[in-house]
Formats: sequence, C-alpha cells, structure tokens
Amino acid sequence: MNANAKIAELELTEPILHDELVERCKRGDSRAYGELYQKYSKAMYNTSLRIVNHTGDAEDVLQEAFTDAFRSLGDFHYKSTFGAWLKRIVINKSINQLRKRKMDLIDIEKTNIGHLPDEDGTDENEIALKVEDIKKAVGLLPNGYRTVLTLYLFEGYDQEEIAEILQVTHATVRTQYMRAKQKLLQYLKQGAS
Amino acid sequence: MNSRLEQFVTDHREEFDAEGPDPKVWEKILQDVDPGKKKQPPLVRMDWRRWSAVAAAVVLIAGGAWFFGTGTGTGKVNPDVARTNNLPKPQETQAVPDTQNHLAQTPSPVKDSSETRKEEPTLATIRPKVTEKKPDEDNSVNEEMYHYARLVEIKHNQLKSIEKDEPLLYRQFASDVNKLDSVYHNLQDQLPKNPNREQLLEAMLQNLQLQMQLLNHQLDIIKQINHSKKTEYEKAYKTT
Repeated sequence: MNANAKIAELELTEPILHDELVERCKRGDSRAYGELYQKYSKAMYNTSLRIVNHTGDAEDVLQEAFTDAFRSLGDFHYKSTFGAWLKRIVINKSINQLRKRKMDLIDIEKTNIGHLPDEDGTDENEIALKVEDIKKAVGLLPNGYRTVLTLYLFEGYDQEEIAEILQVTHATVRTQYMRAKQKLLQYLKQGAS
Repeated sequence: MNSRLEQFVTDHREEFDAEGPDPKVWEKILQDVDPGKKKQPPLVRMDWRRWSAVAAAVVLIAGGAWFFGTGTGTGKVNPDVARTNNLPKPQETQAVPDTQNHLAQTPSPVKDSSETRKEEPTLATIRPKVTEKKPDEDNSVNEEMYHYARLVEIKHNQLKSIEKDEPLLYRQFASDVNKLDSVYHNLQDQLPKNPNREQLLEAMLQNLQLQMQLLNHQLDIIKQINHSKKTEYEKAYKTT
C-alpha cells in the first residue's frame, strides 16, 4: 500500500489542475471526445472486465460509462481527477451489471463464517507469480470475492472506500479480501502444481 | 497487507491492462453523444484565469522592475550630460546608470549627429544578426544583447512547441511576451534619436533579460501542467 499512500499524499498536496482535454470536451470540441476516449478507454475497459468477468458486459459498461461521463461533464468540477471520476462511474456500472445478473456480491453467506478457507495460510512465498496466471485465477473467483479483491488490489481503493462503494461494513471488506486472496493463492498454487 | 502478491501487482500493474475493447464501442458512444450537436455555452474556466493571472503578475512585476530599473535612471540623468560613446573606457560606462557622480565626471555633452547613429548597432529584431562593428564600450553590451536575444529565441521556440497542445495558453503566453517585445522595439526605434544611447541599450538589454525570465516562467508553468497531467494519467491506471 506504500505506493498508494504516496499517491494519496500527492493528491492532498497537489492541487488538481484543470485538464485541457476535459475543458475542450466541455466546449463541445468533438475531437477532444475521441482523444479522451483514446486516453482512458483501455484502462477503464480492463477495470470493468476484471469485475464483470465477461467481455460483452465490460464493453456495455464502457459504452454506458463514457456516454454518461460525456453527458454530465458539466457536473465534473475537479473534486478529483477526471480519471478517478470516470473510474468511479465505470466501477459503479460494473457492480450494477453484476447485480443485474442477480449475482450475489457478498460471498460471505456461501462460505463458512469463522473459518478461513480450507488449507488456511497458503504460503504465498512458495508460489511463482505470473501476470497471466493471476489474471486467470482472478477470473475463477466468485463475484463478491473478485469485486473486493479487484478494487483493492488493482484499483487502489482502500478498504473504507470499498465498504462505501459496496455498501457493506469495513469488517466485511476486510474478511472478504482476506478470503479472496487466500482463494486466489490457492488457485495459483493448484495451477502451478 | 503489503504482501508479495500486492507488491507484484503494483510492479506489473500495466501488464494487467492488456485487453482492448472492440472499436465498435466508440462508434456507439459517438452515436449516443454526438458531441457536435450540443455546443455548450463557454463555461468559466478557472484554469485559464489562473494561468493568465500568473502570467499577468509576471508581466506586472517584470514591467515594474523595468520601470524602476531604467525609468528612474532616465529621470535622473539629464540628457545634456548623458554620456556618449566618445568616452573611451568601458568601466566608466558602467558607472553611469547608478551614480549621480557621473555628472561631475561627464565631459561636456557631445551630441552625436544622426549620421553617426546610423552606423551604430541597431537590433533589427529580437533575433539580431550581430551588427556592424562598434566602439568597444558598445561591443560588450552588444555581445550580451546578442546572447540574450539568442536565449529568448530558443525559449520562444520551446514555447512554440506547446502551440498545438495548448493553443489558448500559448496565445496568452505569446501575447505577454509580445508586450515586452513591443517595448523592446520602441526602445530600438528611439535609439537613433535618443542622445542617451547607453541607457537605452541598457534598457534594451534589460528588456531581453525580462523576456527571458518571463519565458522561463512560462516554460516552468508548462512543465508543471505536463507533470500534473502525467500524474493524473498514471493515477487513472494505478489508483483512484
């Protein structure tokens, strides 16, 4: 979390400068819309894909998120960076997409409360970490675990923020994350052996 | 919570964003939004105000410095006793602007005829080709002037490189520099007529220095903007 902490600190000390690209969009410059999409679409698509775990759904989310963002640029007042603002839209839409599919976002009920996942304490030092393997393993996680893990591990939200996004308690987020991580490490270990 | 897994993800964060959306997504967005259609009235844009305010402040300070640097000097010096390039020694020349004593040391006023003036160095633009050879006291000023003119030119070109990305900011910046530049040209125009040649050259030199400072300041601002853009871009990838 060090890197994130540093960036959070930066965010506090550094005023958010107005983004010329965003300003051009606000003025209705159609080329700027394309540039903004070019700049952010890939990162946003991957963010959504990790949560919804389905390319078609992720593309729908991306389309809706950009459409909404472009339409409500007037409401964007640099309280955060444009990227952070857009990402929040993408994440909310991704979570809604999951809910639409009636997927349970909290997996706690499905697992045995009070027990850490089987084989507690998979030793992560024994596991060879590879980007592709991790991606695959994240895709295997149940929706709730995957969402919490993704928001924390890849999107850099802290547990308080995740609790707010998912409308659950901080404690839930913490246990969910720990379980999700254990499960992920298990998958990685199984994949490796 | 800072475990090996988390560290690994942080270190390889960009590799996790390898997938790309179908190009059709953009077409659909374009159909939905059609940015050409809804032109919003121009909003108040604080950033421009802010940067223009910074630039304006720089111009003001620069202008003030210039005014006090040369304006008061000119006030003090009676044109009749102003020095001319008949004076042989550069050291004396340097003493001129800052003391009153020079009144005593100045030799009887010699007014140069305008013919002599014409042979003297005139800086055609801020980018002077070095001019005709001169009495040596002018030469050092000339050299210095040439040096600054070159610097100003270089920085001007650097500034120009943002014209495409930041046209508004560029225009604003350029207009500030042009204000100083037009003062420079005014001074230059006075050069043949004004008996107080050294002070004028001194003022021109100072003007070039100010132009350079202003350009430096503007380039700093641009650097800062670029830096914050970069940070934001990275943030979009890596964190909230």
